[in-house]
Amino acid sequence: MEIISLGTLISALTWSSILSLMAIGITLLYRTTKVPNFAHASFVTTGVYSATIVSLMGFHPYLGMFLGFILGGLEGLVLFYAILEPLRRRRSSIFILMIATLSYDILLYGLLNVLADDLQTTYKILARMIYYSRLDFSIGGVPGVAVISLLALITTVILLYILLNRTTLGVALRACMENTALAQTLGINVSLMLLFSWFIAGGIAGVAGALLPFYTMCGPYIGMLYIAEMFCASILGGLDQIYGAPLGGFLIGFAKVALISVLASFVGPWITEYAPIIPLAAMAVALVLVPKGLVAIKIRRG
Amino acid sequence: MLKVESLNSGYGKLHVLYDVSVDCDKEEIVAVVGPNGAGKTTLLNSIFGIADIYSGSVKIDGEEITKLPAHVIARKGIAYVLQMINIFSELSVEENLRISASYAKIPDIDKKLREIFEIFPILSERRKQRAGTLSGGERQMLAISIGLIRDPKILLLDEPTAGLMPLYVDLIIKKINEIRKERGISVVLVEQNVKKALEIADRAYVLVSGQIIFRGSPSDLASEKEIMRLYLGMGE
Repeated sequence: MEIISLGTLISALTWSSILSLMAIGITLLYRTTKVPNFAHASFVTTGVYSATIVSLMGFHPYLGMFLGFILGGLEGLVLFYAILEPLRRRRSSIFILMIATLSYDILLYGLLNVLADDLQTTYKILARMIYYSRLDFSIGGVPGVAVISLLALITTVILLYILLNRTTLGVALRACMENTALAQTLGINVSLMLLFSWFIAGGIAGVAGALLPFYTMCGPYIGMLYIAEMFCASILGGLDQIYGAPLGGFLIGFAKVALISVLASFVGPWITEYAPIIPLAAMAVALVLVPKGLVAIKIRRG
Repeated sequence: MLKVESLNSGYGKLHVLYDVSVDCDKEEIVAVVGPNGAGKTTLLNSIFGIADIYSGSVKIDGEEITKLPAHVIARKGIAYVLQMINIFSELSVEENLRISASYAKIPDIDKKLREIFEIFPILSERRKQRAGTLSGGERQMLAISIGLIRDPKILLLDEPTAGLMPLYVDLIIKKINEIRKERGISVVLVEQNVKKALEIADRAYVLVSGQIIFRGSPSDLASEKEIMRLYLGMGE
């Protein structure tokens, strides 16, 4: 009996790559602003509708990654500049900031629903059931989304590494992540740096969202459906390590898709209904065993 | 050069400094000493726009900088070396120095780096090392260098010898004096080590409970037996 099929492995790889892209932004924002960003859910959904809009304009929906980056980034900018920064100036607690991101997410969710309804009536498309699998290409039987999402993840990690380590802007951002008071004394405009990080994180979430309709059926709810999983990947990788997010993403992604498939072959297909428990269980175990995430283990042993 | 007049400041509702006036002329070392909790760090924080200023003024070369944000004050030719977490421990030694120089718009950073490494040669050996792995004395040298590489007119130093072994204390004090002489930089030196601070200071202020109770030369301060004994823990 074949325990795990090649198709399942490819599916796990695809989901892990997309999940990692989502989790990177959450970790980045936690590092810069120390805020768990719940609005990440809607940044991702915005990516989904960016692909839809690009497709309606006559382009291939993959090009929605670019529009998704810009729109997701702008949503991040607005959240930080209009809501979080004024709250920070009033020395609001992290709890208040976190609730503010949740409120902003609900606002965006409403707007995305309005957009979906509008697209549905104006263009006569099923805007609450976006699925582009049939528009995808295939390389030797491997769906294009598996390749594109992995490439998008690798490109993002490399670009982030170059930005944070090889540019003055990036080193300044790392300086702000570590010590905002000291960064200020060097003339670094900390607010501007944080604003920049919100644009980047929102943008990466938008890119992930634009890939999502090639993997699963999407609607305005899709970001909210996966927000817990995004946090699981981010926490498992280590909230203090940006490069831990892909590690967490792959572990959670493979655990959810591949492990459930293996379990199903032993106990029956009914177990697949319980797949969402896996990321949460993995996070709970990780928090008990390695509270600082998987990357912390590597560093300690290194 | 630096003129602080009738400063009242603190943090939110916590009023720390009361009518404090301090000045520092060109190429002068001014020591600010006093017991713990006197408000010495708050004075530096107020000059640098980190504490809340209720009234009074801070001027550099006649230009009002009161209430400007810290990152703007940092571009006015003034460098502040914090007491505690004064280096980026996750960046390398060189990254610490380069990021500081970049934001001070230093035109030839490589040349400046060489100058810094001439002052503190050990930092050259450690340039690629993560700053968090440096020893206490090396960290303090890096912290001062982060300020120095910005080519400041005024250097604010908050207890640069705190927690260092005597060998490093002497070295840091000697370097501060050299920096002033060779580079013509004014230094406001907040120190717990009164004896060492007074060795190199041109003038001294004694701050007690948020108020200046003495201003004058180090020799005049040395003759104030009561102040030396009660507030600075010196004398019999």
